[in-house]
Amino acid sequence: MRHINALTLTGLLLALTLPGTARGQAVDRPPAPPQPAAPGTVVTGLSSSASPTEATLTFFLSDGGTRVIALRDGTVLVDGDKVATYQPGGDVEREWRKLVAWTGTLSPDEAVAVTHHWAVSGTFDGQEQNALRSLSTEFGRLHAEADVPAPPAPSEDVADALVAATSAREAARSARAEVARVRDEIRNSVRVAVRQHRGEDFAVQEFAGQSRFVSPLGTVFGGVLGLGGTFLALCAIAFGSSFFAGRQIDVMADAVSTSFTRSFFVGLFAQPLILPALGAAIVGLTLTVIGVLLIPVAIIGFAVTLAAAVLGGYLAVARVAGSAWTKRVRGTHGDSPAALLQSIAAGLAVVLAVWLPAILLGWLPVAGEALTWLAAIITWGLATTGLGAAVLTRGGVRTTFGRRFIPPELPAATLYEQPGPEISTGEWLSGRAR
Amino acid sequence: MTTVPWAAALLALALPVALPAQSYRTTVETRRVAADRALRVDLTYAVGELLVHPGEAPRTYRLGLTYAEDLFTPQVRYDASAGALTIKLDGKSDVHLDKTDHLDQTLDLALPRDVPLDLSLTFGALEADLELGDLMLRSAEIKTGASDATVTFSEPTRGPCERLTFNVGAAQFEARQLGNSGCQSISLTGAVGDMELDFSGSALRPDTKLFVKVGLGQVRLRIPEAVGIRLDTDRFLASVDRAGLVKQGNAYVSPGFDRATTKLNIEIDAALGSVEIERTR
Repeated sequence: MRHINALTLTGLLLALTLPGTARGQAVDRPPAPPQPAAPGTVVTGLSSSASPTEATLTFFLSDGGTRVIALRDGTVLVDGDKVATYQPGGDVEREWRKLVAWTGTLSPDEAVAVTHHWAVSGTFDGQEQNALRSLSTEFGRLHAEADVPAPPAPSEDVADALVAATSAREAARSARAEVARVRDEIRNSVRVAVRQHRGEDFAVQEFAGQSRFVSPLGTVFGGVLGLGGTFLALCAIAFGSSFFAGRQIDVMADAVSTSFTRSFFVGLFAQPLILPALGAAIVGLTLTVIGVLLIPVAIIGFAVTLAAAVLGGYLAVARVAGSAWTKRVRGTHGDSPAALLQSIAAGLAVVLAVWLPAILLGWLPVAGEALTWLAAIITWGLATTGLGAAVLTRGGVRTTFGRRFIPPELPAATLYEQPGPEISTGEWLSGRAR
Repeated sequence: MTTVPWAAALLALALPVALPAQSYRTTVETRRVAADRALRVDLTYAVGELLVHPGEAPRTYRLGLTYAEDLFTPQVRYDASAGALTIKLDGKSDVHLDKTDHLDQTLDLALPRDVPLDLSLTFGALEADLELGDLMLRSAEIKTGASDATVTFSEPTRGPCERLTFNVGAAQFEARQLGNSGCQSISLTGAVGDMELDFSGSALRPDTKLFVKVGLGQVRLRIPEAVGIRLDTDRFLASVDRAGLVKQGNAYVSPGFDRATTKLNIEIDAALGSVEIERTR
């Protein structure tokens, strides 16, 4: 019952409108034939709609047609054709809006009865008398399916009260929307004020017709900090990896160095196979029934392995880039652990430097976006190459791919030494190597 | 330097003045439907509050719609020959639905009690309150997105309801007094969210079927003790609380299931969610 009352109230309050700009029939319908209703045609439905500049009654007829009667901007329209004029905001419009609101609460038969008995009291000039006559003529052409008495009209006080209530209700809707907008704008402005208070510079960027203040310095500063943090984090990982997986990174770096193109394409083709491989692993474990319990472990293990492969490969690429850089600057890239770390750090600086233009100029409307995309593509390409190297070398375990294995050079004298009878040649060579 | 924050604050106050106010339009449509055929209602509604309930006038539906006219365009069509009512509130091309959460739209649909109804109600990010009791319901399919929806059958339905389908996305969903729906088959497909089906009511069919398919959501079934339960489950990593049911063959049944005059046959297909059965008085 709450809903019904709410709906009835909504209909009664239709006469009230908000400031707005929309015109025309709100509900899309096929155009109705302008001819008078055929004999025997009755009204089966009714739609009432109102906006600040118009109020419309649409009668749905039993033959499938419609009769649309609208008062819009001083013009009386019947099925879109101008039949009369009236004074906007005058008595005719006011009474018409009341009628539209009232009929919205009635059944089609009751609405037809009400329109047949619609009468507007007052003194009208010839223009408005003509408008009222036109409306009465149109109403007279409408027939109800069943003859019912017209319900009593709401009193003037009730109508006025409903009008006031509706205005408040519609205003509240707009106010709530505005509050949400204002809240967002104030938040943004407070951020701007804080930054401005810190002495940062501002630029004005146009966004969808609204002025919005954006601080490029703040964005650049944050981006540089983020890039520096990424560099330090990767250096820390490289430092740790040099103890536990330095040889593997070296092997992958050799693969990148000797087979860069092949590594890239292997990484490229490996990417679409990642999810199917995971799916196959899950299916395989599921088929074994008992293996179902291992699925969560397998998923985590797969993710860790993948991350290690990508990260290790990326460090290997950085190692190659750093070696080339240090060799160019110093003439040698060195073989000591410190030199290895230095070359990786230099390489990371090189491969991460592709983000600097994007960070420094990222606030530019078009160029910034292009630079960001360019940096992302380059980074993806390097990571893909690293992944390919990791695949080719099985994570740096398979030493025979990239690295051309050269046995340690033995001193010439050793070649002429003979092993004693108490040990084998292999043991002797091992001992020499140590 | 201190004047700068003040300037920004003044700007903040000035900005809303420059922004256009949202304009709402209200439309009420009352229409008599054909007497000799069922009415199929297709409703698609994305943003705002949705109310559906039985109407008062015979063979008449009543639609009250308040909407932001700058952002949405309503499509309301009744085809008398086909017995089909289509209601859509389409967003205009430049409307981003994720930025319309502050809108205050309402769709209020009163359905005729004396016309057989086939309902297809699809709604998105909104609050929905659907009262489907006392309607001549033949079938209903309710699809919800990210919404807070309640479906209630306060009174028994009038017609033989064959099928009642709930398709719930990421939502808070509750169906109350489904025992009044009188539907032969009830199904719930839930993705994410909390869902509750309450089977109290006086018109539950003697042999009602319930299908529950849940992904990550949590489903609670509240079933009166007088109703016999037979439960079949197909689950992956989900949990199903069987509430005192006993194993019988491949299924679980409530004590005294064979003697129960009203039986609910439940099939549960759950992936990672949970299903809880609660017996009520």
